[in-house]
Amino acid sequence: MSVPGHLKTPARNPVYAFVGNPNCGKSTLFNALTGLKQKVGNYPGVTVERKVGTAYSQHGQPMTVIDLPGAYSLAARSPDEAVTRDVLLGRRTNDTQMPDRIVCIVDGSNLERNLYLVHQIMDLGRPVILVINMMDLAENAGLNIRISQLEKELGIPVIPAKASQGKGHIELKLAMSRADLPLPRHRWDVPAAIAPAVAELQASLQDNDSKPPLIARAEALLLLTDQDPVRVAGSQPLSKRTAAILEHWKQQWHEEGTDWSGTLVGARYEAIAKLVQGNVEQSATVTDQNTSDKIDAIVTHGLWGWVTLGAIMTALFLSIFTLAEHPMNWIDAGTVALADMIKAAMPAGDLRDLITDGIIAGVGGVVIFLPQILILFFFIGMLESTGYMARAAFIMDRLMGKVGLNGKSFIPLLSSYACAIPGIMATRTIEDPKDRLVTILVAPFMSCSARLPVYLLMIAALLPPGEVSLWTRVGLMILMYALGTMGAFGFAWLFKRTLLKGEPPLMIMELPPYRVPRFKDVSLQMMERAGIFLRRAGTIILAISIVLWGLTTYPKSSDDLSPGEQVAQSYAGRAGKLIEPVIKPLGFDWQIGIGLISSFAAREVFVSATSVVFNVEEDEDDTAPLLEALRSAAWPDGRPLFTPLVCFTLMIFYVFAMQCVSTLAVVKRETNSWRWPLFQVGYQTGFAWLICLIIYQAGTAMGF
Amino acid sequence: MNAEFQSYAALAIFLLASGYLTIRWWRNRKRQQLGCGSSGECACPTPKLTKTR
Repeated sequence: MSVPGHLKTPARNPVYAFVGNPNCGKSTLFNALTGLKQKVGNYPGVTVERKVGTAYSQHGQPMTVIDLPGAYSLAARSPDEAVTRDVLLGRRTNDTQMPDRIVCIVDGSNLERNLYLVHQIMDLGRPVILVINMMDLAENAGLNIRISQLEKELGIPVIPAKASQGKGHIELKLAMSRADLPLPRHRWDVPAAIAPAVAELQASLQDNDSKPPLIARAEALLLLTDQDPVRVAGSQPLSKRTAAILEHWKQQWHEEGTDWSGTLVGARYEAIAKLVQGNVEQSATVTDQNTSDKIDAIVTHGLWGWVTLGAIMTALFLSIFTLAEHPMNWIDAGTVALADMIKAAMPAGDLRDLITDGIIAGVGGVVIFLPQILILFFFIGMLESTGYMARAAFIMDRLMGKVGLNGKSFIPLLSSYACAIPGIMATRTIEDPKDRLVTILVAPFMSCSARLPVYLLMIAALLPPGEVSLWTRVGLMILMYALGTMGAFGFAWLFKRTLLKGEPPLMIMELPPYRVPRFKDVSLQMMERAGIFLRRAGTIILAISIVLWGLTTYPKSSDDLSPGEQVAQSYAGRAGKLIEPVIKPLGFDWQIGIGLISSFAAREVFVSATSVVFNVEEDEDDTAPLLEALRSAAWPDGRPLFTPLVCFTLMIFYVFAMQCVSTLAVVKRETNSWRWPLFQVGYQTGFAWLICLIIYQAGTAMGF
Repeated sequence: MNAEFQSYAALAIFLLASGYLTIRWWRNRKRQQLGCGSSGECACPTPKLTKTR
C-alpha cells in the first residue's frame, strides 16, 4: 500500500516548526537538535522571533527546524504570538517557509491548558509530533500520563521528554526522521449551531482571500473565536466579502443572544478535558505546598520580596567590585606593559603613537571591564534560569500598576539591564500596543552593560579605592541603577497620562517552577556575551579608536605645539569645542565633549575616547594609566577637570541620555517609524542635560 | 622605520578604519530598510494594517 503524497517526506528538506506554550522547553529542544545556542531561560517570553536551524535525521538527511515564540493560542494577542500564527498559517513565506510538519511541545505538568494550542494546530491538517516535556515535574505533581494510550487516541507519535536533562532527544529525532508521519486523528466536531458559519467563512476565505482549504478552515475558526478580526487577519486585511460574512453572522448571533466565541472555545476545552480524563491519572499523594510554593511565600511576599530583590542587587554589585578587581588589574598592567614595550621597540613617529595611544589605549581601556561584564551576565543568567525573573515581575506589578503599566512590562525592563536591544525586542510579549510603546520608550533608561564601564571609570575617579569604603562605591553604583529605573517609571507614568493614555491592564503571567540553574546554559550565555564584547572591542571599538586617534592628530600643525595644544586644534578638538558652549554649564569641557559625541556609536566608547584623548595628551615615553591621566586633567586656568561633582554629573548624564545608535535602529524597526526614536533622543537627552545642569549648578553653588 | 614611513602607514590605517566604519554604517542602514514591514522580520504592524485599524 502506498503512502499518500502529502504524508511523505517532501523532496526538499522537510521543514519542522517547534510550537508550544511559553516556557515549555522549545528552545532547549531546538538547541539540542540543531547544535545552535539560542537563548533559553526559565520565564515566559524568552523567544520573541522565529529562529531557523538545521537538524539531521537518523539517516543524515538535513531537516530545517523553526523555533517559534511561545503562544497560548493561534488567536494571537501579542506581536510574539503573531509571529507563531503567521509562520504556521503560511503568511510569512517571503522569509520563512511554511512548515510541512509540526512538533508540538507541551508542559506535562500543565497538560490540559497546553493542549488547547495543540488542538488548534491539529486543525491545520499537517503531520504532528507531540512532545510531552517536563515529565519530571509532572511526576512530582503526582500525574501519571498514559503515553501509549494518548498516542493511540491522537494517532500521532507522542514522546515523553525531560529536555533540560537530555532525555527524549533521540526519540524525537527518530520520529522526525520518519518518512510517513501520520496526520492526527481529529476527534473534534464544530458545534452544529456554528458549523454553517465556519463553512461559509471557509469558502469565502478560499475564494476571495486565496487561502488553501485547511488553512481557510483554521482561519475561519479563529475569526469566530476572536473578537478582533484585524488581529486574526494579521498583516493581511480580510477581503470585503469575508468581512461582510463575518459581520452578518456576528449580527445574527448578537440578535439571538448566542455567545458564539464562548461556544467554540468551550467545545474545544470539552474535547481536551475528555482526552485528559482518559489518559492522565492524578495520584492521591500530592502535598499541598511544593518547594516552589514555599520559596514563593518569601520571594513574592509584600515585604520579604523587596528585601530579597535588594539583597540580590547588592550581591551583584559587591561581586562586581570585589571579584573583578584582580583580573582588571592584570589586564590594566598588561596593556600598559604592552604599550611601553612598543614604545621602547619602535622609534618615535605617528605609527607608534597610533598603536600605543590609539589602539592599545582605546581597546585596552574597554577590554579592562570584561571581568565585570562577565559577572553581570553570570547574575542575569542565574536569575533567568532559576525562574526568579517572573517573580521579580510579580512583585513589581503593584508598583508598575501605579505608573500605568503592569508587571509584564518589567521583564523587558529587566532584560534592558543587560542591553536595551533584547529588552525592546522582549516588549513583543506585551498585548496592549500603547503599553508596548511606553515600555519601548522607557527601556533605554535602564542601565545597560555598556554603561557599566563608564560608571566604574567615574566611580574610580570620584572615589579612589584606597580612600573610600567598598560600601560607598557599591552604594553609588546601586544609586545609578535606581535612578535609571526611577527615570523609566517616572516617564512611563507621564506618558500613560499624556501621550499614550490608557488603563493598566491586568497581569496574567505564569510563575514557572524554580529550577536548579543549569551552569552549562549560564556559562554559555556568559561566553557568548564575552564573545560579543570582545568582538565589538576588536571591530567597532578598534576602528573608532583609530579614527578618534586620527581626528585628534590631524590636521598636523607645522608649529611646535604641546600634545594638549595639538589635540585642541585637531578635528576632534574643534568638534568638542563646537559643543562646549552647550556642555560647559554642566561642568564638561571640549575633551569630555569628544567622549560624549563618540558615545553615540556605543556608550562604552566613552572610555576608549577618553583613553585616546587623555593619553594623546600625556608625555611620549611612558604610558600613564587612564585614571592618572584623568586625575591630572585640568581646565586652561589650572582647575582640575574631573572633580567629584563633574564625575557624578557625568554619571547622571549617562544614566538618562539616549546615546546608542543600535537601540535607535531597533526602536525604529519595532515601531515602524523614525518619529519615536527621534522623540526618544530628544526627551531623554534633553532631560539628562536639564538634570545635570541642576546638579552641577547647585553643587557648585554649595561649594562642591 | 623612519618618521615619514610611519606617517604614511598611520594615515593609511586611519583611512582603512574610516572606510570600515562607513561600509558598516551603510550595510546596517540597508538592512534596516529591508527589516520593517516588508520582510516581516519585525513585529510592527504594516502601514497597510495600521490604515485598516
